[in-house]
Amino acid sequence: MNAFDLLRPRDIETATKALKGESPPVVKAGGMDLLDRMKEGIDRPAALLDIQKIDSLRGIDATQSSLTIGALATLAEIAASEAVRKQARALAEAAGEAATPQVRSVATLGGNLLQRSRCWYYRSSDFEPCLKRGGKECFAKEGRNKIHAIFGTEAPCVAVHPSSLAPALVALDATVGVVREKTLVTKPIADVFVDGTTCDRDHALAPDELLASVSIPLGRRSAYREFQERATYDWALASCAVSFVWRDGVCAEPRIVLGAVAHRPVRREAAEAHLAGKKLTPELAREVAAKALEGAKPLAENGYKIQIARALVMRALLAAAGMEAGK
Amino acid sequence: MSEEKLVLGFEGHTVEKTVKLPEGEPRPWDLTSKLEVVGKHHPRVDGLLKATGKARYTHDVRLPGMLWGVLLRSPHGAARVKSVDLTKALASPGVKAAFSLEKSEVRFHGDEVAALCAETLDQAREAVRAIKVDYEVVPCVVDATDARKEDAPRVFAKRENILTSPMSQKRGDPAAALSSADKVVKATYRTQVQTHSALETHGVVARWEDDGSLTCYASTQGTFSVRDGLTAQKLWKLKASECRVIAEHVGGGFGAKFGPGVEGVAAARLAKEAKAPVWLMVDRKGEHLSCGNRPDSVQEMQGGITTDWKLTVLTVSSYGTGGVAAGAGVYNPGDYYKVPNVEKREESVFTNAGGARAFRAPGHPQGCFALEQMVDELADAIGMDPLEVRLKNDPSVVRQEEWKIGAERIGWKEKRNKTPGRGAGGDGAPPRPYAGTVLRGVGCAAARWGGHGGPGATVLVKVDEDGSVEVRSGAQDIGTGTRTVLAAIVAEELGLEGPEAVKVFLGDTRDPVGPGSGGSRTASSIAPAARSAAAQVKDAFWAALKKALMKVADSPEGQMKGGKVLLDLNSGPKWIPFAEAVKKTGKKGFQASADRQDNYKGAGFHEQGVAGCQFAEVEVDLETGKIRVLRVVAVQDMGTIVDALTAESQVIGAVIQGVSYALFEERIMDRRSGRMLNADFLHYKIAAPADCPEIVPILFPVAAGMNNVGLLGLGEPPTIPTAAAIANAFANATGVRLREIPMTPARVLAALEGSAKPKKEWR
Repeated sequence: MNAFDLLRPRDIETATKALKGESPPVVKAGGMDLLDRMKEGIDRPAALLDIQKIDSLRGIDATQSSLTIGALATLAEIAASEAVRKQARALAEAAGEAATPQVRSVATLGGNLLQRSRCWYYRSSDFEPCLKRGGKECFAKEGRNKIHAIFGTEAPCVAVHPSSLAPALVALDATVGVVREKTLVTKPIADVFVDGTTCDRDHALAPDELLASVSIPLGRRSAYREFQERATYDWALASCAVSFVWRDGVCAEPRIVLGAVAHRPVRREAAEAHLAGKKLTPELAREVAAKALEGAKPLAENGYKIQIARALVMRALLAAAGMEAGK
Repeated sequence: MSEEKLVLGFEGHTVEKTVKLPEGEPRPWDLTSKLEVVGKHHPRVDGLLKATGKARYTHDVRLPGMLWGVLLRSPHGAARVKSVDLTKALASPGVKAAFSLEKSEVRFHGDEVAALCAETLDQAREAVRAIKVDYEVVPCVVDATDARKEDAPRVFAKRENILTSPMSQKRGDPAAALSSADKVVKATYRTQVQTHSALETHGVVARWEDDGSLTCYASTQGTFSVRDGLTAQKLWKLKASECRVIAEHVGGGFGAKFGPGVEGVAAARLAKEAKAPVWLMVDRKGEHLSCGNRPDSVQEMQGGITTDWKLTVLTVSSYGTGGVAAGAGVYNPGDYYKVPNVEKREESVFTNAGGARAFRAPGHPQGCFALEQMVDELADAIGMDPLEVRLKNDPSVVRQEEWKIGAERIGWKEKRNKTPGRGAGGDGAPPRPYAGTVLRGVGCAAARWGGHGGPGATVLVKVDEDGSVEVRSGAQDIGTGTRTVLAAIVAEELGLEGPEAVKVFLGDTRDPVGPGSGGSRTASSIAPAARSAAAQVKDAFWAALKKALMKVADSPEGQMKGGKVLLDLNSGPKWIPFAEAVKKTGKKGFQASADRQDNYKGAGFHEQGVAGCQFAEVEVDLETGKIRVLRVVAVQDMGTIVDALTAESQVIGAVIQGVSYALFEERIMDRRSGRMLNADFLHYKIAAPADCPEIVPILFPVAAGMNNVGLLGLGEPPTIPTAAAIANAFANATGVRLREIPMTPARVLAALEGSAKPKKEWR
């Protein structure tokens, strides 16, 4: 790892001030992802802005209408929060299934959302820079791609977004609070992510923007299911978050979001439409799941993800409706 | 020479054999021996040190003035090295020495190119980036199937990629047997490349002493082989006595840690040039790339069976790659069951990948995966219970018992699906309570191994004047429990309370010579020498008691027990502590060393090697393709059990590695660049605790009688059958054969779908 300057501001204003300018420092929260990249040498920032001392970025606040979570809340805190478990079950499940207990007690909400892809071509310093590192080629497209995208594969980059929390938050209609200089802007969380045509990035925030918090409107039933090869300490090969407003046993305004199958979390609108206004049954869940995977264009080695994702959609829907048959 | 009549075998199957003992040998333990310490459960004598972090591994060694070494590795699958420029690296902060390995070409991703050392590890890692290498990249080939093609790039300019192995077996008339068998099954089985992935990576801390000698701390399975590797270098002139290798504690070794390695030689050379001790441990990536692996295999197999359940013929034609090394063979399929007609042919294929090294039962897990599925498939072909077919064809009297014990324990009768894939208890029995889309099944497989051990070991046993007991051997304990085994043996011989009463010093070439820890022969080689030495010490002690005019029995037999010695004092017979008895001799202590003798000719119970078998129960999620191994019952023979706890621990560890091999581990190579994509512990997946099944180790003690202890090695056999048992359980659950490992969700789903195979496949 290269030597670097370490800035440790105690308030947001000092932090965002430091982010202005020609070569701003790189923001570090838990450091789980950033330090991995620095150790491999694919990122060699001259300065880091460690935001861990900014207390106002911590905490989970529940009001009548929404749940607001600070960017520095750890995955362990989110998974254990009574308010999150009650009001945003999908998020609690996503946070609770990620990685290992050790990682979850350090990794943060903000870091999880803004982490870089786990594509093994991008992550290896032995490879010539790929599209993600400013190069000209995606090596995964014709290479080894069992962990890569099945949606949006016509885009130049076929890496997937690795976040577990992202699909849950998209399904929950969350918004993010982003600070630039002294201004707080609120935007839909879906706007944070980018598709595979924006290859060199995994999120849309500008270098001088600081993700401060995430807000979730209340009143939705939700659930999250992910699949990983190992029981723990693994990345999802596919995940699914669903939510809906439960009206007299009918699923209204449903959201069905897949993770780890595209460059960003993807909403499956056709599946949502098929479910909307209907009473959920296992048969309907199966139909909706099939719809959710329509249009998938797998690569040479990852067709299996379609079946897995289908199962996850079905299971997440039944779980959200309290009809779970078992994981 | 004296003669002893021994009762060997196990309860229900005993044989009497007369053996000729070399001079000074104690009577070998057999079924009549009454043992107090040996055979019981003893915690490791170094357990507390390890659990509290106080055990010093090579990684932990810190010497005054020590520098940190790093290797530069090839980022290419194959390239010519046109130049290596060290100028900038040598000028980097903290760098004290650097050299190029002067290779004209690199043949695999991770091939070592240069080395340097600096004052801190961070400095060294940064400086290594400043080494400028001019490579001319040339075509490479990383897949064995591709490398066999005529137009494939040559891995070695002057050699064919294909190496036909002389390791072949033929008996009977396989062709005729195939045409006359009642049922014939033809199938191709595939296994993957697995890297050793010991928790402690390879490496050395080297220091040149003032007298010109070299001291090396090494993470190794062979202190003496590291010494021999270092003294053989032309870089310096060193006699064996001028090179000392120390391996106090070793963080695992599965066959890849015998020589000093490029890293060890580099550390010594850097230390010489920098005139300071150098620490050079390989990082995890280097470990995956360049420090050994188990070759993959493609095994085309044919088997024949008669309707009265007799296996009549087995043929296998296999190939695989050990990267830039040879040795991609599988074991002889005819060695397990009574099969009159056998033929094996194999090819080892060179590819541009890190070289294979011996890996826990080399060739066996691969071969077993194919053979034991074939046995199941043949049983299916005649509609028989595969366990019954095994019992009919298994020549091992030990395994005949083990099959029954294991079947009982796993619940073979109740759990085996007679109609696989239906989720029912078989033949119309009511379905068991499955959760959703999950099916369960059971399977089994056999293991055999040698592990008798042999000469090439000397052990020193010392009793101090204060009665403390010490054992010394230059061999190493790679985490298997060798220390505890030696302590238990000496404690038994001297009638001490238990292993904790004996201090064992291992892993220093200044102590008596010992074997490398390979072939499951460390304990089986040094334990008999330790017992002989202890017996000599005991005799000397007894003679001294007599000489000191103590009234004692003629022979020490039965007079030393539980740490006490029976003396006839003025007040009458009394058990007094061993230390006091030593004091009464008036001697300054006793010591003896003994050599490991040859195994007795014609004795022993294990001409077929040790026998083991395993039963697995698995659960398969039909929708996601996930396999969960619920339970593995491992029944294992190992001759004399010295410490039941370390033995069980070995079995459990071996099963975990087997589960990991069956479900997760796989080297993934990029075909175009020749680079390994998962040289880490994130994408190279090893079973984590939550992936481990309930493991039931059942030790099957056998009085083996081929030497004075009769212990056979246990390091390798219990990892052999795990993957095959899991594959058979999968087939029993689903009714579908998966003839390839690791059984990832992608492969499981493809197998269940039948036609929905991935479009392209390579590794």
